Amino acid sequence: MEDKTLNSQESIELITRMIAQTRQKFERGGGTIFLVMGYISFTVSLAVYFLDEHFALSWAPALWWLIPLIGWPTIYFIERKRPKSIRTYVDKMISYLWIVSGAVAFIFPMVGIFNWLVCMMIIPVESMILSMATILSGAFISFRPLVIGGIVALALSFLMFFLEGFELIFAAMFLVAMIIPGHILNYRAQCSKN
Amino acid sequence: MFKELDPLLHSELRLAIMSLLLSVAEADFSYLRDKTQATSGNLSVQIDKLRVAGYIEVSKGFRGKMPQTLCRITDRGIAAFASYVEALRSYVDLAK
Repeated sequence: MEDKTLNSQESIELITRMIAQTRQKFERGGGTIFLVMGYISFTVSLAVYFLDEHFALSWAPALWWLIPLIGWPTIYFIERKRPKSIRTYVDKMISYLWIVSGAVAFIFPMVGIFNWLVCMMIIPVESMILSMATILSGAFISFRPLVIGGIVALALSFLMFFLEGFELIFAAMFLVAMIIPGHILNYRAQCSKN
Repeated sequence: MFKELDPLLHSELRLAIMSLLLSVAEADFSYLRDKTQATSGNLSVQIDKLRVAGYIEVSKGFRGKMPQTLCRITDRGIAAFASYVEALRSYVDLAK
């Protein structure tokens, strides 16, 4: 492409062509963040369940903090390494959505220090926050598995108020909302690249 | 009545850069070079002209250990682009 002057028809064609080039539905590695958070949370949930149920270890719930402590630095490291030549408005919206959701999910358990009632609801409420963020992320990128996974996870969150062993439901929630859609997302991105 | 076309936008490469930046929040130099198939030297010159006019913002930084030049369109650039498209439309309408 050169610095030449165009006629009106050529200008319109060029604008249309360039705008069409920026449409990139599924980005390679886009599902990796969901997979990282999904697998870490899934593993921690099962670990808390077994340590609490089978060994009755009082410190087992402290393991929940491993999710942000391992997950966030890992995501930061992956994002820094991932070559990213453009940032779309959708990328920006999703980033802000997860920053706000992550901050709320991190602060909410701390309120439990001052009010024991909050402690009873930490996992279901955390689950709702993450489910809603997942549904919205899926809606922003028009990716149905993420939306469906988020809706199922939201239903599981409500179920936690009525059933025992919410750690297992929490693990299942990450499986349907993050791990399965994350793999599908990466697979679709791989296919669209090829 | 013909509206005057912005001479800064009425060039193939600068119009391509503006069209690409209009659709994304920000894009780096290598992305613009790949999409426009322009040479690095020519692209740098045209980006600088758009920057001086206040149509785009350019920031230099690093991604990991690699230097990165990021470009994003400004409100002024969006307004200029909208006026340009409006003027183009008047030409196309008249040609019909």
